[in-house]
Amino acid sequence: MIVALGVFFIALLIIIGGERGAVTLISLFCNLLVLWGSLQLLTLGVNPLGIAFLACFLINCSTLFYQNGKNAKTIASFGAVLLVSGTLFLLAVGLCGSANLQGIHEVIQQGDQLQGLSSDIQLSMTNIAVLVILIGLLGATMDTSIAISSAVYEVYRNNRGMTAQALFSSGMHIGGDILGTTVNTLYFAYLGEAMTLLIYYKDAGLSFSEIINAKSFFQDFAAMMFSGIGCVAMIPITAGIVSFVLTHPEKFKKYLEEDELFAEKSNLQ
Amino acid sequence: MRDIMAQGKVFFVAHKKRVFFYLGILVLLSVAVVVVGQDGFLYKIPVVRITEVENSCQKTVGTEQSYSQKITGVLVNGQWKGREIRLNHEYSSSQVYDEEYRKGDQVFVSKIVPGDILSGHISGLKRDQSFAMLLALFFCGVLFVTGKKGIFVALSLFFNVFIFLQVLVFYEKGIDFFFLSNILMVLFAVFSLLLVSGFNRKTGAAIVGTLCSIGLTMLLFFLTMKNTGGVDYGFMEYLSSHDDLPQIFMAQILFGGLGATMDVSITMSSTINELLYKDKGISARALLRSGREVGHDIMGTMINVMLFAYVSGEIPVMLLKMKNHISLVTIVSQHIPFEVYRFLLGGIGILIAIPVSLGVSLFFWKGVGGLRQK
Repeated sequence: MIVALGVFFIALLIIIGGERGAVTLISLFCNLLVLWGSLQLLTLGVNPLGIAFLACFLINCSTLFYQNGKNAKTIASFGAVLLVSGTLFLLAVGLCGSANLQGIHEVIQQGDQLQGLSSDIQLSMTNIAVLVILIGLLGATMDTSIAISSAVYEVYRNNRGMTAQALFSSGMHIGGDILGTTVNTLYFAYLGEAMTLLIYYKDAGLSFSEIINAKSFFQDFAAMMFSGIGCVAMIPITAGIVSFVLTHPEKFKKYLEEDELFAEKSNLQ
Repeated sequence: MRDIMAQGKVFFVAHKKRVFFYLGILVLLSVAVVVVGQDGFLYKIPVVRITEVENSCQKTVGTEQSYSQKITGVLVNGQWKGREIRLNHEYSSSQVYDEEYRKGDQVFVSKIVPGDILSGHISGLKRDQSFAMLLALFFCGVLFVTGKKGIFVALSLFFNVFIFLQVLVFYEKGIDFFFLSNILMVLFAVFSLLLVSGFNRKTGAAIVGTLCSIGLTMLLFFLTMKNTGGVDYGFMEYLSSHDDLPQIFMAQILFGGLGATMDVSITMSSTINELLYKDKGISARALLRSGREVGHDIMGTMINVMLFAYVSGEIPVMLLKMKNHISLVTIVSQHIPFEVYRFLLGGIGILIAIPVSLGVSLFFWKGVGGLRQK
């Protein structure tokens, strides 16, 4: 069944996406490779926080630069994702510490899935919880960021005379339009994931107050909220960075050589 | 510096109302978070605020240290309110199954033994303040960044959560879960899209596009299930005693991809709408080409959203298993098949939604003729 679905997925990706589909597939594969490598390094006992940053960096490179090319859009998004991930990293460290978010929650422990496994693993589960949050929000923040930077880019392409301030406010406007659907995407993805857990609570007859204090619920909830907060923070930060890059291309000359918009400009001169 | 201050002043005078509105929200939410931290009296279970912790390294189990904690705290509710309590607790250095408590934490305590000095057993940490803090931070962010639109985002989220809880109540009464989910999905799609983009043709096209795409994805899913021997529900999380696991699984698939499909559909119909608004005479062929282009732009990152949202949650359990010498290949193929199914079907949903919602949007604006011109 997995094989059949996998084949369908890849076939559709190629049929519908064409060349871009193949690129998506390769970058998806790279991301899986990064995740695989991170897991291997984690079992060797390398510090999870360091791995989280390394994985963020590599996944960003493969998704933004490989999938969408090296241009003003991706450079701005790259900067914005790193900035937001860094800030949320601090928040996540604080929260995982104060809400004891580490480890494997009580509902999994009660099942028979983990029977016979030794918990003697010499890993800091608190740091792993931070890594889980950072990796979880990566997809959503990259999505929001690239949507905003490419929309602002298109606006600039059609109105070359716009000031940074005007570009910024149009970025904020676009952000407001897409935030609703992004939040929905996250909500439903996590609802799908947490559905068995919610039915479990219903079976066990837990009350609302017991649920919000449960580690199992809080882990999923925190992952979803962090992704949401990441997307929200992404809007002003991406809009700010992309409008700065577009209006000050001379400062980013080194990185914009492949950008059609600015390559064009230098040809004209 | 003076320049910036002067600018700030001008901004403040021009947007006095808004500044006060946002400040008001900020203060309100901060107060709410602080209050939630002090809400021990609302609980029936005894709540203890830890005032002192004494850690000592007790013994070495395998290669890990096991610590014992002698905890002193004060009860904040119930019949022993204000009295001191002594608690013992143990945790291991990697905290896989257990956790460390610190001074200032609030914990729930069960099995209180009365006496001169009370004693009891810690049953868990009180996390409601962190819960409130995250919610407050999120809504502050949404309102600050998107202004009025943020209210609709919040409304649609609340509505969706509320409806889902209602459905669980119906489910308790014995109604088939998959049947309920189908009704729910239509409700979700209609209301979320209406709230996000208003009552207009664009939304109509997005709703029809979403429903058609989901229908097609589910059809594909059923056909695959029928022809490949189906799914082994033995590894379904938490619910091994239920007899309707297939229904629950299908509902999970249905919802998991719903958000992403709606996202693709609304993007497609807004693009078509925007293009027609800019140039009324644009041909169906040009619309189709632009729509495909946009579809290609969004599909990669959307699929990544699904990937990271699903994979990240499994990391702790995967690590525990890998540390116990179970290979990653075995874990992925045998222990977490449901995550893999959800990811693949979510991705398929996104891909199918691109041509389907593009076709539906074209039909909505250009009629049957528009579709024929393809």
